[in-house]
Amino acid sequence: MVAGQIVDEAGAPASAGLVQVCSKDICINAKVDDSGELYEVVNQDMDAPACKYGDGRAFGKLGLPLDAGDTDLGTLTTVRLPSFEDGVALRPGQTATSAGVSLTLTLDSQVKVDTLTYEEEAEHGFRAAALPAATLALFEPSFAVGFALAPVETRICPSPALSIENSAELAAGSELELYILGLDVLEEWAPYAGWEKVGEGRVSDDGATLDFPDGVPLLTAIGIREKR
Amino acid sequence: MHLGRILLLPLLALGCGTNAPEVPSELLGGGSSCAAPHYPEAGFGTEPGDVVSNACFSGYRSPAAVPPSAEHLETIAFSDYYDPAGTKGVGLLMVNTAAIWCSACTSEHRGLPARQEQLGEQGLVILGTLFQDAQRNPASIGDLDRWVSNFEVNFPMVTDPDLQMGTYASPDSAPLNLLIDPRNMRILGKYVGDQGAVMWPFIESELALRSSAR
Repeated sequence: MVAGQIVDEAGAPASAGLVQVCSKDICINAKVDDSGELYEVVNQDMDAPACKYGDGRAFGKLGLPLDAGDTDLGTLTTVRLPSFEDGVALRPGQTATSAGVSLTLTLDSQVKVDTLTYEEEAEHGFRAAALPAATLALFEPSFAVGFALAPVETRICPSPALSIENSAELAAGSELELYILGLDVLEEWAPYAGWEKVGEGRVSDDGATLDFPDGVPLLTAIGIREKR
Repeated sequence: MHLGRILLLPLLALGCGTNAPEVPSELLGGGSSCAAPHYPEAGFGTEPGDVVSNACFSGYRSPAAVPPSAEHLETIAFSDYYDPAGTKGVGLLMVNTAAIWCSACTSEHRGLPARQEQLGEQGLVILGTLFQDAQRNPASIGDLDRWVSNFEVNFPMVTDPDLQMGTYASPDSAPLNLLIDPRNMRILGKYVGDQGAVMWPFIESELALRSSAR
């Protein structure tokens, strides 16, 4: 049995668009009632089960690994993404900025969007939303900031440089680590429902931005912490 | 209009009560290719050993050979693969369910074209059914087109917006794979989830058995 409650940033019950108990071999849509209560009985052996919540369209897509046996996930705070209308085109040679997160694409960039999930061209714009403190704490307490990025699973090659407004007020010159959340069972970039370090960066000399010149290889949730 | 249909209409108008003429099943909706007069008539069920009831879908029979488009849509039924005498060359029918919201399904489909390529000559026919989109809405032909293109599908692939395959397992979970004996349309194996490590060896041994029996 998997249980929990889905709420939005304001603490109000939310559906998150899609909540699943999903492993590498099977996905089960979990039932979420009007009060955001999630309850799903799982009578199935699962390979690396995870609770994935958020559809990547209206809500950021996030995932937590599940242990064997009954699991009470407690309160899961989902995050609402900007609307599709506010998406910023990902174009070679240009910078796309959303919620203080900037991606700078090289002139020879190729952008591959998951067109199964994002059917219309109008849904292909870059969108970002900051992860609430409660969500960050649930994933990795050492993360100073985190964001849900969309369109989820978009691959930009070469990786676009990443720059984020320093809302956490990290000290200028601090060295940083960039992590991404694995949501794909193929685990090409990160373990399924796990976080993988994909780069390093630093706080700019003026303290204004967190800069990762080597960029982010995939649009998914990201977490940033100071280098240890 | 077909001549038989023209002749039947006055009879239908006159028909009443027990004297009503028996209407050929091919005129009762669903299109003529859904009719399967020679399909098994008994033993239906949803578990191994049971006969699958005939189901009828819209989709593409040979998407690798004929590009997906409205003009190439066909009605495809389980009965198309019913092969009691072994004359159609169908050794084993594998019916798969998938949804765009299901990452386990997309992962599985990345490998299915290679399986069809590898085992098709031995008689394996994969029939893929797509039942919902990313938001759990009924799958559309547009969804099917993008799915076929994305995974370079080389086997029959259809939409199942009415959840006909939900008879065999909850549509809240996916994927599902049914292995069906085309000689009698009985379920040989039912796999909830992508159980490739168990299923593919079974398929290969079944195909080998059937090949040696020919």
